[in-house]
Amino acid sequence: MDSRQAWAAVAVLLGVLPLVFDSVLSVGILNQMLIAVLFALSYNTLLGQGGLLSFGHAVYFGLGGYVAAHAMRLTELGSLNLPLVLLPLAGAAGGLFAALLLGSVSTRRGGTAFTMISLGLGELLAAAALILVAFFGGEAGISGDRTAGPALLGVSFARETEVYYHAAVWVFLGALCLAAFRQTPAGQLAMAVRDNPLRAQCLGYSAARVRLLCFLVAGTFAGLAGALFAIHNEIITSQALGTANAGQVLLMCFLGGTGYFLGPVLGAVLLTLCTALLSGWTTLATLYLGLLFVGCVMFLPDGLSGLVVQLHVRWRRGSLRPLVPPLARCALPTAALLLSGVLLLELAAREGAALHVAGLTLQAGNAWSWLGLAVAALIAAWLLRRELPALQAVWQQAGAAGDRQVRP
Amino acid sequence: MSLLRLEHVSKQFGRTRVLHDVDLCIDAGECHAIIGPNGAGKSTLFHLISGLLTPDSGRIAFEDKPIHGLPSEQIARRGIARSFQISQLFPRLSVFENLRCALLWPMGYGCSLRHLLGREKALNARTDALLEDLGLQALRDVPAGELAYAAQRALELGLAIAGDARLILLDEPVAGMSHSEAAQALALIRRVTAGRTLLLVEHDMSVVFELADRITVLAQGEVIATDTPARIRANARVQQVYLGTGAGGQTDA
Repeated sequence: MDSRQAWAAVAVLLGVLPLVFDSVLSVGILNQMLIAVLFALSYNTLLGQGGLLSFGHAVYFGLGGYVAAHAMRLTELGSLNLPLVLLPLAGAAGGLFAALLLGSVSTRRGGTAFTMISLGLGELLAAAALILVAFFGGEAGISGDRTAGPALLGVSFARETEVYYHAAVWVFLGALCLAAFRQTPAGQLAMAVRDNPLRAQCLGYSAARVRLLCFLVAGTFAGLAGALFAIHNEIITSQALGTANAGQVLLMCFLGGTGYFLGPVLGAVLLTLCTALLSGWTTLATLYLGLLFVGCVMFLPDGLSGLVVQLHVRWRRGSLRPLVPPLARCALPTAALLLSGVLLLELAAREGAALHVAGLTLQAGNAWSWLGLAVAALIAAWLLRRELPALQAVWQQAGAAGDRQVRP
Repeated sequence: MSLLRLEHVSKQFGRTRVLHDVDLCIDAGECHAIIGPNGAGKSTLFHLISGLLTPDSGRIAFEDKPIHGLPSEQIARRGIARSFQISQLFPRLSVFENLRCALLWPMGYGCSLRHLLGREKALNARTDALLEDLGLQALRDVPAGELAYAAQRALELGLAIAGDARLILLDEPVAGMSHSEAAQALALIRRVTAGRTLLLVEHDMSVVFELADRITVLAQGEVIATDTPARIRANARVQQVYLGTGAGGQTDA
């Protein structure tokens, strides 16, 4: 399948999804996914492609969102008559402008200096958002009515599916642009500067300029994603600018893997789904996502897309079969460890209320509940520790067999 | 006509005097080697010419225009390319992509956002031709970080000669190679740098005497001789430095 067919397949998939998952709730989640996918792709343009670790990427997402929200509000008030489909462009322009303003300072140096400046700017903007009330609207944020603009072909964007298709077109175009950017001289040089800025300079390229260019592209598409966010929610608050949001997009990229274009897409979809599902079941959603991040960094340094590629390599060599027995032996203790760990955390989170699991009643006030879970977790951990080396050995062996190992 | 001219160039790191009052003149078309014991300042000299360091005093002129104090990318654009003693590649890019990056500036693409690399036929053809020159076709799609040592050195050389640079600085191009590898690398250097001006730092004397038209001997940050290989061989001061009887010299060749 060549890339043209792949993009066509994605377009079809985007068109079909809301027909399959057609409840208002699931279309809403699909909408969030789309926005997260574009945000994560823009972030990975910085992180994966440019080698720039930013803790402040939410700034450009948020500012793009604010610009779009203001345009939406002005349209509602009647002083502007912008059709909704153009709002994302306003958001992208906002993201670009902010990236130009802040990036011209922060991208002069790469590495730790860039990271620390991004963190500082992120905190600064998040704090400023609460103080500069005229633009950011204080704690209430900026809200508007997306249906106020002139209707396009009879579509007023009142329904969730209309908003979905609107976002889908923009996210599709955005992803296409970011994929194309990787193929341009500038995009290729961003990777070169990531790998070796010294060498890039000795070939005639200013590393700072290449970094800035990469940063501007990332900021523009973050702004576009932010505008889609503002349109979807019809409100934007300072939370969208904050470091929590910046951390979320970092987690998406890490979970999905920064080494491949599709990595952040995978991470964004899974994380949005997890957040949406978990928040209905537990108050500890953030904690679980944090643990997921730790586990991902420890066991999957190349993310899920890296794992998929590794599995594919082993599958092509026909060396997947030996993995099955050790995997099966690890499965049960892993499941037991996760279950008992989750139950321990849940027990700690709810004071008094009992947990009912498989006919058992667990209570925070009952020492036997704690003891039983702790013993179960310890046994599972001990078993897993005993079985894991065998799995790792077979995994390594399967990877080393044949020609050179594929680097992610 | 001199292509590169250094006049009274000095460089200190803190209190350590690395280069002192260095005069050097590289003629267009020649292969000029710089030799000297460890710590003589050869690498610092290269860093000064390529703009990775700026001289404390003195002037460096390329094609009669001053280049000292310019950032390294500006110097590279004026036509000075270099290789490094420790290979400086783009480890996660393929061999082909590495070389293509080196060709983007000379071929006028710069940091363009308007071109798609896959469609630029002339660019890709020239990259493939370069791959062939370097004997790296078989490793075309291998990430540079996974290459064996000799192939890494060949690619390092390739990055230096890819463009149309009029002056090429080679920092120990055959260091760490076996005899047969060095002989191959030497043949490669001869082939791909034919007709260009070469400035070379090398420890292997057989390489130096085979390649160089002129040799400059550097010791303790000062130029002690510049001459043809035959006369350098016969020079008493040079012998002193290399035999270790001179002031603080050490044998290293």
